[in-house]
Amino acid sequence: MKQYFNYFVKSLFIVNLIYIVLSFIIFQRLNITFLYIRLEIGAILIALILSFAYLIFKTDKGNDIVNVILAYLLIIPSLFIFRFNFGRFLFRSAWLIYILLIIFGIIYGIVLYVVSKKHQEEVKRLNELLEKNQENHKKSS
Amino acid sequence: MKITIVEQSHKDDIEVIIKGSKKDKTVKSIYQTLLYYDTSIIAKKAQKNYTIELKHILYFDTVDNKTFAYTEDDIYDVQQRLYQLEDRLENTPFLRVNKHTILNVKKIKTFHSTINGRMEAKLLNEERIKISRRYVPDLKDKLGGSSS
Repeated sequence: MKQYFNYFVKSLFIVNLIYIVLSFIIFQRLNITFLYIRLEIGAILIALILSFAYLIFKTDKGNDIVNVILAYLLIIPSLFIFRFNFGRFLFRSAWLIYILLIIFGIIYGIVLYVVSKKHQEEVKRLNELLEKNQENHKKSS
Repeated sequence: MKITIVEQSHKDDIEVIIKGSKKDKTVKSIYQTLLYYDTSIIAKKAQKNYTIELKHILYFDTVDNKTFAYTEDDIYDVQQRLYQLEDRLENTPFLRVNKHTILNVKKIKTFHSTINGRMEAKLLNEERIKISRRYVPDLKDKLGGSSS
């Protein structure tokens, strides 16, 4: 629970920051103001979803591939909340949300690939060191 | 390196003297190995006290503020806290690998990484132990690689 709260606080900070910037841009360009309470509820809901998705992503239990897919599926509703908050100003066409989903999926995939590649190299280095150690031990015994 | 064994059949205790610089990597490694074979800990199992040699321990783990020592066949209750063990086993192949585990590096078979960035060590008895990224530089050091 403590860990979940920790993730939640961080996500809420980031989501709020994005919301402030977006609201400011929309206000500057279209002179439209948003209801604060509505935006804040949206930001809290998104932060709750994101932190839960991250918790699932990082969990030790279960299959890690299933956890990664589940985390992505969990994130999807947050995009709908985002559209609900900024709907007609950011998503003039209904299909834009689906394009955003695909883009989001591609980014998620790329990030996963890069991170796992980096970690694989680290693991390879550790395995090499381990092998070297075992060889030295065999030689000495 | 010059190795000399002085035959003293009447003596029960083995005495090892290492002549060299304390900072030397080989000296450190010999010292660690000797300490590993010479140190034992007292642990409990079913209300009985046992002396377990370090070379038989796979890892120490904390569950609900209790510390346990895991060997290939048994689990023993250790009276010391994990941080105390960490201090005591500083110069041995034991290393803290996550918040609640001290692992015997000599018992690792391979390392694995998962798609979600988790790192695991597969032990000789096929058990898997999670390795926190925070402790990877120390692990590299322990295995003889540079931490950078």
